[in-house]
Amino acid sequence: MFNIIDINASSIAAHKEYLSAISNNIANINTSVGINGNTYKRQAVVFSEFRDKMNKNLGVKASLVKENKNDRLVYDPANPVADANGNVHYPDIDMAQEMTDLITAQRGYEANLSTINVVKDIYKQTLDIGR
Amino acid sequence: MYDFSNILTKLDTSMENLKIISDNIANVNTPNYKKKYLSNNGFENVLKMKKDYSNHLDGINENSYTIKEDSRAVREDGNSVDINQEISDLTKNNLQYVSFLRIFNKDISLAKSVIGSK
Repeated sequence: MFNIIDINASSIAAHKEYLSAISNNIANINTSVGINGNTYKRQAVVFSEFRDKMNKNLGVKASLVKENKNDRLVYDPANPVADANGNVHYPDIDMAQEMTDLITAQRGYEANLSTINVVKDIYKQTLDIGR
Repeated sequence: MYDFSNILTKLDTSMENLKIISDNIANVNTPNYKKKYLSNNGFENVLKMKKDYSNHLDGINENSYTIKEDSRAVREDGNSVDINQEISDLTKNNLQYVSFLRIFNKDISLAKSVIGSK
């Protein structure tokens, strides 16, 4: 019945996923040992348009992917996790990129939130027909 | 009898437009998404054209509208949603919807006063 709100709610969920991926990247910017023993890989979120055949349910969905980029090498032979050449592997995360992505995600979230409020007002007024 | 079908069509069209604008805003960060819009929707087409002669051409049929895609890409990721445009469309559509509602409520109160109920 109130399915327009679901459209923006799906986008809010997707942007939240985006924000959590960015947070994870920034938190792990100096992580040289990940969960499986390899270097942490930068996470990215792919947004794709979602719609069913009848055009009833619209929206967006986000899927998490791990980027397969080369590691950033820092020469530090004294470090216990250094490899045979004396290099320590760090994830190749660009701080400027993450911060701009953060702004994009935040603005997208805000836009959808204010749209939900507008749609909610419209539904409220619809329920007052004939009063 | 009172005929509310005309105003109900308007409300439905406005609701459909709201759904499309919501979808556009939801997909503001989706690569290669193309902005959707309803063509033939607006105050200009609210009133039906009166014809003196049956040979005259019809006006635009306001009940028919189609969902079109704006295929121009304004951003590098192939997305053609302009968020400023969408928010202003949202506000415009909201005002339209509210004014249709107001007309509808006036119609109903008119009908109520005719049948003497309060």
